[in-house]
Amino acid sequence: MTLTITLKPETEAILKNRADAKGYAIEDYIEKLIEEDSKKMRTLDEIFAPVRRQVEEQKVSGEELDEIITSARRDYFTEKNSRENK
Amino acid sequence: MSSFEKIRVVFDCNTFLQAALKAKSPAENCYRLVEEGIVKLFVSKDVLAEIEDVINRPQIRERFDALTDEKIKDFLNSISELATIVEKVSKVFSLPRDVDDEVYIDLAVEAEADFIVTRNKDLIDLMTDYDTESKAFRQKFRFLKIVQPLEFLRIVEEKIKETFE
Repeated sequence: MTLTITLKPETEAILKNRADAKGYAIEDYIEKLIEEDSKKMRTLDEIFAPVRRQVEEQKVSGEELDEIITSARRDYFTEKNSRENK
Repeated sequence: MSSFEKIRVVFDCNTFLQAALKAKSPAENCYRLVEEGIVKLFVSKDVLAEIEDVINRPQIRERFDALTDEKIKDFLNSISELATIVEKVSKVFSLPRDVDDEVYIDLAVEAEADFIVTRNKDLIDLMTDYDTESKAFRQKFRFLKIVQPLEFLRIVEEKIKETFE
């Protein structure tokens, strides 16, 4: 993918200095920054934004969500205990 | 400036899933404290297995169909990256009224955690009830407090204020 971006002159100057200090061409330095950022761990909001919208749209309260989770946990332990008791 | 000793914490399954699914919830803010490196989170393989199974249950997957395998994988990776995984957890406490929650007490004791964060009444009541189990819990594990997410946020805020003001 090829991108064309317009930087403010002051931003360009800062990045140019940093790239020079690390021995990179400015283009390579910016590419490196973007790659590093993409490798950062995603926050919960980044991971779950569409799911959270569904929870919001369905007006699921914290208490109701607790009930849903508790019911799912109950099933998990019922199956787990039954497996272990066999 | 005083040094800030990180609070050591264990979240239960409900806290993890509330944090994931409910935006701007107290549980989400608790998880953010972990993301920002303000508190130190501990999990065990049992807890990770419980989260993975529970979030995949039909009650959750069918109700919230935007939840995909990839999102769940990213979530579990996030927890594994951020938390310290305690490999071996010894059984130290029995909670007959809710045996499924014993794993959190055992993990917290093994990790020498300061807090378990939960919305589960069976666990929270251990801090205040006068039955034999609750009294035994408080006597045996004086260092360990069980609190709701909102209370945990308040405690962390207080600690930050005390340390840096």
